[in-house]
Amino acid sequence: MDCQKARKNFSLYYDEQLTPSDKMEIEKHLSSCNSCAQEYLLWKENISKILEIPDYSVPNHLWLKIKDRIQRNRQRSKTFLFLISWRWAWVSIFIILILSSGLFINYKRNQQLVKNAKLADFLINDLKISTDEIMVVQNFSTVYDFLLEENDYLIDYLGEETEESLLEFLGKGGETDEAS
Amino acid sequence: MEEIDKNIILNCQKKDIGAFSQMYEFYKKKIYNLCLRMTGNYQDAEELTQDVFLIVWQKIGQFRFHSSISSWIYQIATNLCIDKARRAQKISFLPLTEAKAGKKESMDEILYKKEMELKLQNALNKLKPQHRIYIILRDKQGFTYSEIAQILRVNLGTVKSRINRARMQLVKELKEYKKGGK
Repeated sequence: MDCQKARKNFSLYYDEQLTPSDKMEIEKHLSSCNSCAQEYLLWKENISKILEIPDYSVPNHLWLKIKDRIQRNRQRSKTFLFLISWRWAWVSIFIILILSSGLFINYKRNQQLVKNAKLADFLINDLKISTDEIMVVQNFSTVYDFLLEENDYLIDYLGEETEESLLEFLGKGGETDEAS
Repeated sequence: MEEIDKNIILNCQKKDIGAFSQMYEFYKKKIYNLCLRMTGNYQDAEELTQDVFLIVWQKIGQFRFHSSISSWIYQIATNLCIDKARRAQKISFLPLTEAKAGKKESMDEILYKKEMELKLQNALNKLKPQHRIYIILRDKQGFTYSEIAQILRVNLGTVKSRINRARMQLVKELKEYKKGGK
């Protein structure tokens, strides 16, 4: 065994991890090579010093900190589990709300369309107002609310007789007996 | 390595905090000092020790007794320590002065010990974390090669070569320190 190989095996020799034949070889080399023998002693001295590094006591407050973190994690887990267990409920509620809002908006719009259609029908068929005249106000929902507030401009435009009939019509909720 | 009683482990798995405090008492010193020597920093060592035991608490239910509980706990500890040590920008270590009750030491002895500790820790700090861990587990905490292989999940051959390399580097660092080159 040469010096390079011997020095490479210091660690395994120190820990008795060499095969018997390798162990014999290195011991033979160390007994005949002063330099390697010295090197091994120095090496061994340095490594064994690691054992002399003191172990420190654990700070007393550490256990309290660990217990505190365990407690906080428990609280967080409970909240999380609660939300998770209710997650499908939350999703369902959300979907229902969206659908309900959509249905409600649609219903309101339909109602308005119906009112507007009835109003237009009344204006055209009962009051004999031409479609051109009706086009004065483009948006029928505005007309309806507009008239409910008894806006003078439109009432004047339509005339007093028309105004009475119209107010009567509006008072009945915009219903007509027939549509022609 | 000495193992804790199996019943304590089983009670910990049932989330018995009393049993867990016993487990903590059993392993705290070794784990804390492992963290300290890996990070070279008291604050980091405290935080890491907390993290280790918190993970042990959270995951003890998953422990199936396929390995020793010590190996399992050390696996958690070494993973965290190596991660932390890798991320650390700079390590500076100051030895604590711990007076042992009843033991009278001269000032010279205390100073010598402090200097030696500083020298050794500085040399350790210069090693890569994945090499430093081998020195600490083998030369400081006395684990066998096969125990180290189990903890670090490597084969025996890897343990042998890494311990060899780590020690060679450590000795080199200590020689440099002696020369006053670093």
